[in-house]
Amino acid sequence: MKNRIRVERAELGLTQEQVAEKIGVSRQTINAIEKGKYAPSVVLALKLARLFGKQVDDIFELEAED
Amino acid sequence: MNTRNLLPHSWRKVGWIFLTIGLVLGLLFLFESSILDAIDVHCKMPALMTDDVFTDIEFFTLSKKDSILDEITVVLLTVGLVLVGFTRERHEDEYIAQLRLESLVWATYVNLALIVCSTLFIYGPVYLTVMVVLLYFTQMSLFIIKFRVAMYRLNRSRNEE
Repeated sequence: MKNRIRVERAELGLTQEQVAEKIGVSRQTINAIEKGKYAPSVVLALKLARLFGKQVDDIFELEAED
Repeated sequence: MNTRNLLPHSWRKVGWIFLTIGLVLGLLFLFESSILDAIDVHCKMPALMTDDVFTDIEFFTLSKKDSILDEITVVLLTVGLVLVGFTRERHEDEYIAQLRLESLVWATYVNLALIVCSTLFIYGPVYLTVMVVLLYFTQMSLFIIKFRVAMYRLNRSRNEE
């Protein structure tokens, strides 16, 4: 699964720490999601989408192997 | 994040203290140290079941032996392992919960493999000693080591902001 969190974050000028704080997870978790090491739960994906003012599938995208 | 099965983070320090004392006592027992005679605790315990080499099992009586230091050691080690292994992280979240689960599954596999290997390759009374260690100590220890390594790696993964 690909994601655009880093881009969305950069557009809002937020650090990983700030995003983590706003949605109530650790910075390491945001880092792991950005790197594609961890696929977040639906709840977390929805929280990220709401923070960035986008739909979930604007941020997360399935890849061929998913 | 739902973490109702986990204990408060602050209890972990107590866990390390219990675990350290338990480990020292456990090693003394393993090497049959004479220090144990000096610090032994004498007390008869109520026994649900008790037996001996030459006697049948007796129910609901008092223990025949008059020393409970080994029981204390087992309790200290077990409580220590639980407090160290199952306390919340400072910033608990779903990714950490997943790492914890993966570590626990890995530790269970390795422990079961160790039990099979010990059964196949260890013979005689020493097998019982090994089994005691494998049945209540190694799984949690392996889990704690694996999970702490995962957490260390996670914290070290300084991001490219």
